[in-house]
Amino acid sequence: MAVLSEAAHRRIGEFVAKYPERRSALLPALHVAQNEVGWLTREAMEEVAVILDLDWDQVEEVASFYTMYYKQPVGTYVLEVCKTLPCSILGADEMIDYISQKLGIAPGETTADGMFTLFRVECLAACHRAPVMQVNHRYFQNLTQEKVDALIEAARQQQLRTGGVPGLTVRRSHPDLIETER
Amino acid sequence: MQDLVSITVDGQTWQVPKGTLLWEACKSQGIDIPIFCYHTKLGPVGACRTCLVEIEGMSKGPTTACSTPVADGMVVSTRSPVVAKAQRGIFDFLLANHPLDCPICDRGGECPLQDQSFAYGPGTSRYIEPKRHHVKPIVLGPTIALDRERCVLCWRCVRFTAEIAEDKSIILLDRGEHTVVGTFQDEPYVSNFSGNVVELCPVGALTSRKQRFNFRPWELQNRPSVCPHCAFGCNLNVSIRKNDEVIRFLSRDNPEVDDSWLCDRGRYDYEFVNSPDRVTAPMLRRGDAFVQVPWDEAFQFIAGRLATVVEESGPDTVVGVASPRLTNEDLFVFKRFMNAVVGSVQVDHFPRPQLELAGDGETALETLNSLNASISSLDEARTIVLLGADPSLREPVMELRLRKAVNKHGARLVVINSDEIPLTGKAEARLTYPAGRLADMAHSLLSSLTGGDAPEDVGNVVATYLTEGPVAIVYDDRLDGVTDKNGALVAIGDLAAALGERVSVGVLPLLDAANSLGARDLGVLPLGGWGGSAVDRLLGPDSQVRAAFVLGANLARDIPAPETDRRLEQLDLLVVNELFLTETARLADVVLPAASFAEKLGTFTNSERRIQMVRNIVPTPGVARADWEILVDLSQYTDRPLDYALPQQVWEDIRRDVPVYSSISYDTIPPQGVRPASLQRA
Repeated sequence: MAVLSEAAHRRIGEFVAKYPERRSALLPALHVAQNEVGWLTREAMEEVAVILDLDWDQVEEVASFYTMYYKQPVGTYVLEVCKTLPCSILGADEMIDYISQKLGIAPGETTADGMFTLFRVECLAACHRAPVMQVNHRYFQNLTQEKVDALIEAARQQQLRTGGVPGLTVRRSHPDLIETER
Repeated sequence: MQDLVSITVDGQTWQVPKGTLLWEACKSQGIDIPIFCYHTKLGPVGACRTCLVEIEGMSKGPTTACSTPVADGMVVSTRSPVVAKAQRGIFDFLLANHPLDCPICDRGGECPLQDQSFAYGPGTSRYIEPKRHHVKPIVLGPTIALDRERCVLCWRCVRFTAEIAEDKSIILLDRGEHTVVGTFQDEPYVSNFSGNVVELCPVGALTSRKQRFNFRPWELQNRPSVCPHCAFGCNLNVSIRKNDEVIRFLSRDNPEVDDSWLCDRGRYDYEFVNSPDRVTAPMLRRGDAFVQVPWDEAFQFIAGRLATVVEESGPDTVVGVASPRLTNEDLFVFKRFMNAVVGSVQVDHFPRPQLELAGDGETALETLNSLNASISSLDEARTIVLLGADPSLREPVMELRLRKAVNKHGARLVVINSDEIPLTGKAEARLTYPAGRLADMAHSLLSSLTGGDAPEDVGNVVATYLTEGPVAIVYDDRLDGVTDKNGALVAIGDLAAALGERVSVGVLPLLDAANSLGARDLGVLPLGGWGGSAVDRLLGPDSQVRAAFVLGANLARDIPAPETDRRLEQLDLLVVNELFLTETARLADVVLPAASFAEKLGTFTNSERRIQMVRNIVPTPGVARADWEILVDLSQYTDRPLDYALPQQVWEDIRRDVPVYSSISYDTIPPQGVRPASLQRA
């Protein structure tokens, strides 16, 4: 009972081919699975284990180690706001509070309509454009409350183009209406 | 032969084999270095950092003794101010979140964290912050409860399940400060070897659900013994309380046998010793009930009836059946009692393989016997063949030895079985045969080996795996479910013999009970050897048997048929020596209270023919006695009394009677047992 598509299997197969050992492809394989299923369900981890000839336990050990893998269901849009020092100095905490209030959820929670999940995350390596947020792998930088409002509105209209890790994302992305300053 | 290097630690200089880990080198010299994550059987991971030492010339500062191999001329300090400061710091960290609930902790009193904090820690903590809390206890599985607050993340349990038992059930989840021990998706930790993680845990994080809060370690004394549950013969430390209560089994590392592991079946089956249901006094049947009587009255009754039966119908209408769970001393006196006192040749042990061996079968058994390999020889085998054998079921700790042989020593495992067994996944090659057709498979193997016809897959296995030695063959002596038991045994014997002409071969049987091989060596078999069966004679339709002595064998349970009960009830005299009022004992005329393995001095012979000693570590309940003592006492009521006062005297007669044991003297059996000199091949 496969939960991963053929395309995902093919993609994971391509990663496997790059390494001398199958298990070396575990991290990208988990990304492929997460991008397709939305989070790392038990079934997804089991399927990855079978593909890579690992034990389930070994997959969960790795999956649980990295915060970038979701161990519970997340919304359609995952808002990951950097909380590390430079962003924090430039108002990340206030930004988190603002989003939190606007969506009615605490960090770590998902809105009732299943649309948004909010996370506080460690440095996203874009300190020069702090405060910064990542939505489904796409960066939104020099955040202001107005930008956040527009972004959330666009998402609600299903008109927010999100990114994806090049080569990892199988899920189709949405058209973008928000210009971010690069 | 081995390269030696010279090292200096804390001013002492000595020589150790090259490549030895520094911690092991220091330990062998009596220099104590604290450890948590390192374990001799698990190897180093360098995770806990408590074994820091200072090595001269190493610029990076203190380094871990557990993961550093010795080098020639190495100068090490385990006590320098730098080391002491580093260790104090590490212990401060380890205790940062440790709850210090030692007064209610199962481990308190035998806890490495307690002992080592006391010896190497800072004495007081610098932390004033609240400690981290977890839900506790977490039920990890049917046998284990987990306290995550006490855990110091040493990885021992994780490594045991991943590398030794390979059931990979316990894992570390999350990371950094949030790391916890757990299982995949919180599934229960179910393992045949779960008790070992409790023993490995250097704190009180993993505790036994059966034993939690049952005792305080300082009430206990540990006494050496041997597991009475199967023929593998794992060594035990039996924990006793107040000198009379058996409260726990711990492993007692015997590198030649158990390699420090126990299976749960052995580890957790000890409560029978102190059971309130034990038979504590001789009992005579009066109508439908038993009444307790003094030994004297019981013996007079037995001797009287026995004399009548022998006089009226001859001694061979008396049979004796003993359990192979008894010691060699019990079995030897039993046989002598039957032969010399009663005058009957109808002795037997039960359970045992029920074979009808003609001459060639006896030869096959002798061949297999003569090729008896040591357990540790599995480590040297090039190929290990499981021939119709499932060690996980019969002698579970052998499974761990086999995994080690494959993982550490590169043995190639060939599983030949009609079913899937737990070790199938470890097999490099496997052959299957229809259920029960082991004899045909063994014939095919033999045929292929000797250049005859054989199916292609059999031929491939023989060509690939059986042409290069040493080969170890593990077969199941009980031959359960095999349609042609004699044929199978003969074929296995022939195969081993034919193989032995080509390569070096060792054979390990899986046997019925802790002392099955002892019963065999002592010849506790009826006239006609394997072909006869005193049990058949006793229970057969035309049975002429009028009296029976049954020692610890539960015929009424193991041969379930109305006929069994009827036959036993009809006897003029049924004497049963037992720990409990078993199905068989209930049918007896006299029940005599026997001592358990923890209540008598004696020896077991395990499946590699290692003679190991069990001891009288707790008193018997009531007036119970060892089976051999009971029989010696009973013989005093006949005109042919036996003259044994000590198990040593019995052993001296065993040595005279059984050539293979002649080299072993009672007083020199080492704590870890000994195999007869004639078997100790290079």
